[in-house]
Amino acid sequence: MIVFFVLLLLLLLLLLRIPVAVAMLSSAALGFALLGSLGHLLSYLKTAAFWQFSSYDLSVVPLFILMGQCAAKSGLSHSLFRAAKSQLGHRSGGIAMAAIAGCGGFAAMCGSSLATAATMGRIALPELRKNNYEGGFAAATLSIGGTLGILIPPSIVLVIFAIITESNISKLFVAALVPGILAAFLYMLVVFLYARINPENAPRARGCSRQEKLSALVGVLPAFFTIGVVIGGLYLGWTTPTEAAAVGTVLVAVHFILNVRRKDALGEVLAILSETARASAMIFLILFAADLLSSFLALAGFGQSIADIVSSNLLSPYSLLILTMLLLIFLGCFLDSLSIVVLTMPLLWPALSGLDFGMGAESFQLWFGVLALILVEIGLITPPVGLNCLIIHRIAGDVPLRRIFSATLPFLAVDFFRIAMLLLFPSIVLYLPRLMG
Amino acid sequence: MFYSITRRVVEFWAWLGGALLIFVSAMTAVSVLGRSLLASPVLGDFEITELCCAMAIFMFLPLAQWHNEHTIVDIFTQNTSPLFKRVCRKVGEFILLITALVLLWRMTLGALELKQAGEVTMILGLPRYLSFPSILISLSLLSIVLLLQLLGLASRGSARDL
Repeated sequence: MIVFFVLLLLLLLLLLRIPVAVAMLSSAALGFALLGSLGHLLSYLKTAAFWQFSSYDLSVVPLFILMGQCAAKSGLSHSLFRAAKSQLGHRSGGIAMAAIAGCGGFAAMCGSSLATAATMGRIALPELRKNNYEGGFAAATLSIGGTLGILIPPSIVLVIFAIITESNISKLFVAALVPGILAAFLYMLVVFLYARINPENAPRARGCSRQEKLSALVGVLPAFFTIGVVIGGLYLGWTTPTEAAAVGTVLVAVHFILNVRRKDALGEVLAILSETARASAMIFLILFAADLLSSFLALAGFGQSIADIVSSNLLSPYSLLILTMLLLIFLGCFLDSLSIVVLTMPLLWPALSGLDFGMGAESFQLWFGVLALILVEIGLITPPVGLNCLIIHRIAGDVPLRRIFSATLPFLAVDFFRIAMLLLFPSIVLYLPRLMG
Repeated sequence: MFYSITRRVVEFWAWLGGALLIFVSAMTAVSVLGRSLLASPVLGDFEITELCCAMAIFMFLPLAQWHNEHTIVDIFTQNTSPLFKRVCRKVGEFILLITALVLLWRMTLGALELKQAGEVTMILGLPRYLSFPSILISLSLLSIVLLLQLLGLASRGSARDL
């Protein structure tokens, strides 16, 4: 009863424009008070935030954010797009494909979709428009390319999912790799077909000479090296995720130092630090709030009642899974990916983890984590919120948001196709992590 | 004037936190390199990472609040009056101010407890309470920012619309 009341309050606060973290904090505090354990809460608060923020697993979050910010300013993003363009640009739809490839490459250095969309949007969108690509299609391509940011490791949301569900972060990263690359290929396929049907909207660009191609490929080597070290280190188990992030940051920083103009250097560094601060602090505030809320739920015995409902076999495992997936898509209509994961996983994971899908517990964790990641991303490219589209809309300036949303529909279709593939063939997700042993 | 001084301090404080992160990256990279080439990692690198990252995150909070980097659910109240939105925002800031002050109070006690209990890290034996001064300063700065925002003296940023 108390749990029900607290969750209702949480919902109400969220609807009243109270920030997600604040809403969770206040409903958790009220929950503790209603249970008569305010003293418990107060003594918990003495060190809870310190212990949580100083957990080694979480240190990966600010480090990957720092790496992404650094990569955005270091010119690596440019070199990725330039290399892809030199190879693909002369085909029809080629520059849009290059934009997706660039997003995919940048995504391997950045853990956030919004940052990927914003960074590659600023680079590739002017180029697409200059080459007479239709505005809505160009903007949609970059909005969808941005979603690769969260799917191709590193991924901040995946780290948070791993921490809440106590799964292995390295394995989750590796598990997301193949679905991420698959996504990039399917998006390029959409571009290819679109360019076949509407050649005038996605014209060929001037081809590059052999020399230009070669110099673009040489230029992209530092980016490939960084990506290889980060992902290879994780896959081979040489580095922990935190170490991978740290090494990646150093590599990107070296590239930054070599390429930045002397007189801008200090300003750029301070800008990187400010952006990192602004992007990471609130993630931790939300995590802290979520931790308090889960402690309250545990104290109120909520996990047990969920487990009881599940074990009563009212719903088959698959219908429960489908319901959860629909819920995640629905929440994507008004919340961002991180908030969805933080709000739902503490409630749902205890129930889901008890289900039997004919695979091991760890495999299910990886499979479901990647599925959930794809589902919460759909909200980024669909109305009403569609943050990725919104960002690209702002960068483009003259393309109506409605036009961008309708142009993302074909991409959305392949997203659902991909989800179906992952549901039917879990080994797309599980193959690589199993090789890790 | 108080406005611009606070802004400077908050920004500078976040940069210091960022410098901690850079230090952690460099140290960890050296440690990984040392481990794989010379089989000698930096001693206690995990512990330094943990303490520095915790401090950095707290030091980031005031700046993030200054820029109002919160996620809110916007679509159901998009068309309500500006007054209603402002009231909602003040309520949020007020709750957060209370939270920050309570945390400041409780974590001061927490620091003293950790000190008395002689909590140290496993390998290097670093006293954990050493990270608390920066945390407490961060929470004080966060409270000041929230107070300024509540009084309408620093309410420039807008929440990320969702």
